[in-house]
Parts: sequence; structure tokens; C-alpha cells
Amino acid sequence: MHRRRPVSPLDHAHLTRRDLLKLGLGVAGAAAVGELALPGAALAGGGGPPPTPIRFTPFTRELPTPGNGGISILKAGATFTTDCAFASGTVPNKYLVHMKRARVEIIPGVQTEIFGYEGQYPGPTIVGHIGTPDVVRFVNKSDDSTTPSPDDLGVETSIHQHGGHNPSTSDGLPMADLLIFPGKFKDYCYPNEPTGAADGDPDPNDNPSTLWYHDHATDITGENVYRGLAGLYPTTDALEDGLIAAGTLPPVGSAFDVPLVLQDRRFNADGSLFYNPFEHDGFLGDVFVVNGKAQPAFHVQARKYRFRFLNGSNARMYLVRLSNGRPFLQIGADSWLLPFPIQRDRILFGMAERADVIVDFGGLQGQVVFLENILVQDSGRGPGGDLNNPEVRVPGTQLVKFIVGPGAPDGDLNITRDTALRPNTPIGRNEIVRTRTFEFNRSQGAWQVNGQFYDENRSDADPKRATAEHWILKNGGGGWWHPIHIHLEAHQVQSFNGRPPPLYNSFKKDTTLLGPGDQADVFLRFRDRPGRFVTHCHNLEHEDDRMMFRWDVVES
Amino acid sequence: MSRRHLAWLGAVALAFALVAACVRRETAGPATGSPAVPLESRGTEYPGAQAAPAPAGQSPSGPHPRQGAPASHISTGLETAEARVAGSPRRFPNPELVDQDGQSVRFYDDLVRGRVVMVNFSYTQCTGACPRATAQLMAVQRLLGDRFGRDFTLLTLSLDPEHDTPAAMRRYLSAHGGGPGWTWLTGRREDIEAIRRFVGFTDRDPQLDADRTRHTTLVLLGNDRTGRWSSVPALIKPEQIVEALLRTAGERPAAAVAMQGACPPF
Repeated sequence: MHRRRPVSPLDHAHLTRRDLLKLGLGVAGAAAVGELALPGAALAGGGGPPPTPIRFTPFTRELPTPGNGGISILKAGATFTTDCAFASGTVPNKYLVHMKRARVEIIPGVQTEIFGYEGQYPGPTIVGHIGTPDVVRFVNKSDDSTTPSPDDLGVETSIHQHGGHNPSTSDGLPMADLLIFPGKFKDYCYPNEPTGAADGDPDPNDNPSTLWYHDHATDITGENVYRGLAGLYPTTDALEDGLIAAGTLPPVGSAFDVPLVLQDRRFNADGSLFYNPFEHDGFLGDVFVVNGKAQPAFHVQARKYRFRFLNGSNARMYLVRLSNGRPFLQIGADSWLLPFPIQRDRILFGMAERADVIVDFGGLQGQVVFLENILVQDSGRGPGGDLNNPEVRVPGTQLVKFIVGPGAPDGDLNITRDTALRPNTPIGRNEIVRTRTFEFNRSQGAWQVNGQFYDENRSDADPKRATAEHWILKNGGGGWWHPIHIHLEAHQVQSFNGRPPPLYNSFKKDTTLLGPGDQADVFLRFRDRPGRFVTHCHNLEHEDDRMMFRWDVVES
Repeated sequence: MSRRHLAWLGAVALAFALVAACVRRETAGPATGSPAVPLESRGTEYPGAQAAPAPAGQSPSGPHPRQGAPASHISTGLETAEARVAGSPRRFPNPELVDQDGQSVRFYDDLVRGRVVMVNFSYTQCTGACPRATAQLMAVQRLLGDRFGRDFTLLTLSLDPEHDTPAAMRRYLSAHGGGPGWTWLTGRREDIEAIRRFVGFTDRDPQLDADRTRHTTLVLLGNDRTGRWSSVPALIKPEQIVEALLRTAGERPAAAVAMQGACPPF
């Protein structure tokens, strides 16, 4: 046998084709693009599961998008009767989603069984509109019969609309009474009203843009999401509709509004997904998948695009850039549009973090541009380095190949760095009624918050409805990285390690990445929704080992 | 006992009744081991973080392990068995271990195959978090009633195999009132270490990893019939460990059943 020798990430340029074969790594990709198209995890010596034993040529499949039909847009019009009741009395859009196993092509020419909303990976896009409630009936069965089918998931689920401002019972919490067991369904009631409306103080500045929905079942979120239970839920309101009508942003779901869901996967020789529930530090794949395709290509026009990045991985983080050095114009962070565009040369994504960006391919007709991930990460614990100075490898891994065609017959977006987007309503220090500290730490090989283990029947914070608080999120150390997700409300980062946060993170976030030893001070309000919610690490294996606490919004 | 505690006991009892009434349960695994797989299907897998991978399908080498071999004994290869974990074919560690009654058992073949199990690591002289963990797991056993030992078992692997003789483990079990269904296991240190690495109960910090007084208090919940595995801290509420275990077994715990009404679903 050939033992895998330790290989530093920088060594790979010196590996011969034969070396790569010995290592069981794909060389077709290397040949096609002149460099190794595999992440550090597969190269790092010693630990981790065996590399994916399937070789493929990257960039032979087109990126699936709503615009080209590769990702479907779910149609409203389901006719079931529901118990969801909305204060506005408005007639909701009703959607029906079956969760089921299906076989799809992720690696070119290879069929892989996934768990899919409507059997699709990524799940179908649901488009929300502020002012019109949605009811989504998620059915944990492949069809509407009572007959068991091999396409049934056979495991419980819970669906979280990530970034949404929804009633506790529709939040998709990982709690015993809220799970959808096999053969059951649940109606999720999404009011789609401005935050604060139920408190008589609506703030349209908190209306979201880029929500996503994903599984959140207790203990098995990691495997369920890994198998495919995630999709996008872009939402518009009058302001964003106005930006679209003015030609500043492209229509939602059009050819120029394109999600980029970044995920990593690992495969068995037969094409099935490999997942190891014993990787408690966080499971890493070695095949990079964007919108459900391994290293796709995307034919673009020489014009501006809106890309909605989502890190949908279990434990992998990304530091992305464009190979030609063009910057991103970031217009949104997590669920919300920014007040104004911010230019970024590269963007770091913890798990669940999103960034809306404008990329301008103008003047690049006939050229090829790669989206590259230059972050070095060989363990679920996190990448090397720290948040301000993560370990990078250049040029890194090519995630998407953009092939730039002719210019823009449809006209171009008129967005510039000076375009006003969505105003932000800052939370004032004078509104803060209480400060709480939450330290995410490790004790006896298990996760705790403030020295306590998770208990879904115990609330660890009871903020009062219609008040604001100052929460201190602390990484308890040990070299771990933790993206901390707070349900229900946006949080506004006031300081990061005692200093002002970068501008792009200083408005509204729903997930804040804490590198080793980091501390974030955030302000957040608690509006409209009395009941249970949670805050947790979005490294899904940490989350499944219950790195989480429950908190309740209580009536004043 | 608090009112909430009593309510939970009631809820768990209700769950059993409802589950028995309307959920088709798979047959539980045989009570005393399964037929051993032929030797040809045993082999070695990459054992975990610290060791180099070995190709699947390689035959085991060396003599059968014996209990009490010195820690310096040079490993001649971990015995494994074919299993499916989370839908993927895996070589599950299957070394010969010794239980509190002095019986030789194959870890996977005799104790995991076809069963719903809880697995943790401890040692009889442990004074850190172990007493609390043991108290919690005893509470889990009480909540499970006579289903413990029949439908669910608890496997505790000793992190101090040189001192944890069958007699010591027996004393520990009887001192804590551990019922049938709780199996303590000792054996060759490298075999137990191989299982620990396989299930990921390791720390990347070698000093922490080697310090058994700071070993993990996670408990694995596994259903070998479906290949579903997850883990929970032993120090969460016992009721919540039971709830997670029932779901691992493919059952619907009380709260969910009460919330969602009677089956059938539609």
C-alpha cells in the first residue's frame, strides 16, 4: 500500500501526476485547468476520511440558476386548508413541498442520491413578498399517500427560514414538539410583514432580501442539510421592487440575479454521498459544489450581475475572490441589503453567512474569470490563522468558471458605488435595557454556553418584547471557529474585539463569525413574537452536539 | 422529584403506549449477539486522526488479541467488520473485548450489530465528570424501564483497561445499580483507542487527547439497523437523552406525538 505522506498545502505544485494517483486524487481537474482543483483537506496528511475516489473534469456543467431553469421557482397556488392565521387578514400564498429522496447529478456523469425539497438539490427557490403572507406545507413524505415509499426520507425534519422573523412555532426550532416525523406534515406560517408591525411600530428598513430555508432537526441537522435539505427564499418589498423597476437591481429569479450556494461534499466510489457522523469537529468535503454542481461553468454576458452568495456548507469556510482581480460590490450582508454598496476584493464566509454582490463582467468579452476560494482549511475546527489574517493559498481552488460572452443586449444595471440601497435604523445605546454575555466554550469534550449544557426546556435569557438588549458573544477559545446564528431578529454589531467592526458587518447580520478568541458586541431588538427561539453555532456538527441555547421573548 | 420530572415520566410512558399503538417498529436485534461474520469480511479501516489509512478489505493479521496486553504492545491491525454508517459502507471496529462478566465479546458483531445502542467512555476510578455522567445514565435507564436491556443498551468502554478488570467493572456496576443492558468493556488499550478514534471522541490537541481525566462526556446514540448515529452530552437532561434515543430508534417521543395527533398522518 501507499501510505499518505504529510503534504503541506504549498507542496502540491510539486506533486507529479503519479503522486496524485497514489493519493487517490482527481487529476483530470488538474489537467483541465493547469492546477489542482481540490482543497487542502484532501491533501493534508494524516487525519480525515479517505478522499473521494471519483475523478472528473470540472467546468463541463452549467451552473444551475433560476434564470436558466436549473433551479426551479416554486409556484404558489396550493389548495390545502391551513390553520395559519395572519393578523393582516391577507390571503396567503400557499406552497406545498414534499421532502424526499431523489437521484441527481452533482459530479458530471455520476448519479447521487440526495434528500431534496421536492426532490431537488438545492431546493426550489421560494420568492417571498413583504405584504403577502406565505404558508409553506412541508410534507415529510415523498407523496401524499400513506403507503411507504423508498423515496421517503425516513428521518424527522424541522425547517428553519434562516433570517426570517416568524412566530416561534413556525421558526423551525430543533425541539421535540416541533419536529416533523416521517409521514407527517407541518404548515409554516410566514407573515411577511415589516418587523415591528405586530408591535405597532413597523420598520421597513428591516425587511429582508436573501433568506434561505434549511433543515434544523435536533441532532441530525448536519446530515440532513448535507444530503440536500437547503434552498433559497429571496424576499422583496416595495423598496427593493423599486430598485428593480429602476434598473438598479435585476428582477428576482431573472438571468442576472444568480444565487451561488457554496458547499463541499465527499463521495463514495458508487457516487453516493459520504457522511461521517463521527466527525464531531465538523465534517469537510473534498469536492466543491456550487448550486448543486461540482465546479460548474457559467456563461455570462459582459455586464453586471447580482450574485447572492450563501455558504451552505456544514463546517467549511470560504475566502473568495475573482481571478482577474476585479472587486465585488457588496450590496447585502446576510439577509439584508446594505445602506450603500461597499467594494470588497475578497469576502470571508462563515457557515450560513451570505453576501449579495454585484460583479461587473463589462469589457471582458471572450475572457474567462474564475471564482476562487483561497482559504486553507483542513479541519472542522476552522481554517488556519485568525479572522483578520486567515491562512490563504493562492490561487486556491476554482469554484466557478465564468465564460464571458458578448455585451448586454438587455441593457445593464445602473447601480454604482453611490447608489442608495436600504437605509439602516441603528439601535441606540439609550434603547438598551440589559446586557447579557454568552460564552461558547468546550468542557469535557462537549459544547456549552456559559458553562451550561443545552436544555430545550430551559430558557437562558428572557428578553422582553419591544425592548432592545446588548449581547456579548464570546468565543471561549481553544482555537475553534464558531459562526454564531441568532434566530428571529437581526443583530447590529457594535464592536468586534473592542474595535469598530468592518463597515460591511456593521449594519444587520443574522450570523456573526467568531474566530479563535473573538468577541462581538451586538445590539438587537425583540419584536412581535413572544415565544421560544435559539442561538447556536452554525458549524452543523457543533450544532448537532448541541452548541446552542434557548431564549424566550416574554411579554413586557 | 419535581412536578416537571413526574410530568416527563408520564409523557415518556404515554409515548411508549402511543408508539406501541401506531408505529411499526422494526424487530429488535437478538438479545445475545449475532452470528459472527465470516473472517473474510473483516478487515481494517483508517482508524482515525492519528494513524495512516489502510486499504479497505485487508485481512486482519496477527493473533487474536488478549485482554491485558501491555500498552506498549505493537498493534498488528484492528479487526473490523462491514457496517453501514450514515448510508456509507464502513469498516466498524470489531476487536475482541472483555465485559464485566469476563466474557469475550466482539465489539461490533456482538454488541452493536442490529441494535440501538448508547456508547460512552469512562473508567471506574474516574472522579471528574464521571459520577455525574453515571448518575445521568442511571436516570436514563430508569426512564427506559424494562425497555432498557431489551430495546436499548449502554456500552461503556474503559479508558483505563489495565486497571478495569472484570471484577472492578462488576463492582462499579453493582455500586451504581446498573441493570442488565449496561455493559462495561475492557481489553487491549490500542483496541479501545481505535474505537475511540473511529467514533471521533478525540481532541486535536495531543496533550488534551492523552489526558483521560478530560475525556469527552458525549454519548453516542446509534441505530445499526438504519446506520443512524448522533451524539449528545451525557450531562443534558436524562429525559432529553431518552427523547433523542427514541428518535434514533425511529420512534416518536411523547411531545411530538401529542402535538401532531394520532396516526395515520393524513
